[in-house]
Amino acid sequence: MQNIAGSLQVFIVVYLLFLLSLGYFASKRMNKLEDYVLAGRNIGSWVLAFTFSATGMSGWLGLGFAGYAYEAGFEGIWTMVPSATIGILLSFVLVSKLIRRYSENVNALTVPDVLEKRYYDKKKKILRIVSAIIILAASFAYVNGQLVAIGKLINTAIGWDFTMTVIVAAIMFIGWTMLGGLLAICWTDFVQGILMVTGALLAGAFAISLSGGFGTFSMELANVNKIDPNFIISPFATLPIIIYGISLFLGDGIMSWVGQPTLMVRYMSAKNTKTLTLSAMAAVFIQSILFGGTFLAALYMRTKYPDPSLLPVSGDTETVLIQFFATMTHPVFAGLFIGSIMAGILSTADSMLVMGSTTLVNDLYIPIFKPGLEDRKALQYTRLATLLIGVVGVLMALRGGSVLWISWFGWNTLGLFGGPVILGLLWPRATREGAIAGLSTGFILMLAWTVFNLEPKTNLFQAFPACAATYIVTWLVSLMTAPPEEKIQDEVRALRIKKVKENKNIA
Amino acid sequence: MDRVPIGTWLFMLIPALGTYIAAIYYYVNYNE
Repeated sequence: MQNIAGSLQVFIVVYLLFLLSLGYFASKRMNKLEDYVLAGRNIGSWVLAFTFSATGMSGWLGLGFAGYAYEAGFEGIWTMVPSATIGILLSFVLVSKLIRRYSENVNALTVPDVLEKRYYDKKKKILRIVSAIIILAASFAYVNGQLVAIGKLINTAIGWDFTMTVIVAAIMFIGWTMLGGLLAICWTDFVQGILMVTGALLAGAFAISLSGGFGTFSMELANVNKIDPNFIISPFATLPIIIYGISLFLGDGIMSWVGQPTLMVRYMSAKNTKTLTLSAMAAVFIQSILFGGTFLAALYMRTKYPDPSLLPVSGDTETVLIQFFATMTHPVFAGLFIGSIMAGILSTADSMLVMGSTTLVNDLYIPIFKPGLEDRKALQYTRLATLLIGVVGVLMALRGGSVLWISWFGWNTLGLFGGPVILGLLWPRATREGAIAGLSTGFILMLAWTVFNLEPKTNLFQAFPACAATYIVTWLVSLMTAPPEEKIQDEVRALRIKKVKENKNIA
Repeated sequence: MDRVPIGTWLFMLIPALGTYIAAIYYYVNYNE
């Protein structure tokens, strides 16, 4: 490891300073809250596709998922397949254009804004408060998960102290987020997305080539399965694996992607709806590369080091991809590759920060306590909230933990928005009561699965019951309550008619 | 089993190819 420590330290310092400088340049364009929160609704296709993947793929991929693949083998493909392909496309097809149009039509900056307007909740604000609580819980968890990931990464790669690393990394990404908001994030995500794709592509290629070809690789994986039956080589090995797999596929791979407010905000920030179609195609390819490369490298590590105690640097299986890059590749490239994992972590952490702070200020504080607050002040408060969430995230991260499960909790909790948002944009009949009941039930189930550890008892992945409940309960309660007024139903119907109220950038 | 079953690889490849085709179709036909 010593041979890469020097080059890696230089790379990390230069890289973080470069990202911080992007934040500074983006800050020059921050004049009003819409600039900070939605990058002025001016993001193009490729930046959008990369920021989509860089946001969606965090330390969860490079650490959590890599560790999961190392331990459980092909069980992971139950989430990898939809998360790399179908779930992504569905997210674009079902959500992107509708929310882009609707958010501009009703002048909404955030997902709780969209919900409040769609569900005529302006007076009572119950939906706004419920959404804000869910987003904040998820943001804290997610920022925490990413900080644990960065601590593990740097600690494994160059031996820096875990606590120190968490604090330094947090200062950096809180810095660029406070300065440049979503625009800085989209710019930094673009750079980091390219780095992540390069890293994953080469990781996959290295893994196959180091194994001596695909045939040998396949045989070695089967040998690992003979030693440890928990490392499965068929996703259809037993009935419980299939049932758990389907819950993972639908809950994490489909519903958590289509219901993700961080991605919905990306769609809302697109230059126009045309931008979104090209982004969809690009995002599917990018996701496939990211997942494929990470998965193959993690499996290769298992064939080479069949037991975690044999791993060259650390027995923590969440660091296998870092150890792969550090030991299998040339020292000059190792910095770049490990930088790509770091890119995945930082690009998600900053997005969660901006979403949490926007929620705290724009969705809770201003509408409830300071309606009509001037834009400059709102921007200032949002920056302060960014700092606050970052600091709490650091304090939580110092305890360490599993990147896979902390990130999964954050990601799946955010996926709960699928029911109310998608039904709201597609089905005019969806009601305010339905949305509140759906969202609350989903959140309660999510907490129950986590607090009472129901996953092993039910053999169902946490996101499946929780996310499914948001759709079912929203639908059922909507049918049982008075329909929305005609004006709202007409607004929803109009969304699906092409070129109705097309956005200002096209006009 | 001596190697990873072919069904495992197909479970990854078929949805991927299907989605690529669907994504291209979406781009070509819904690019309004």
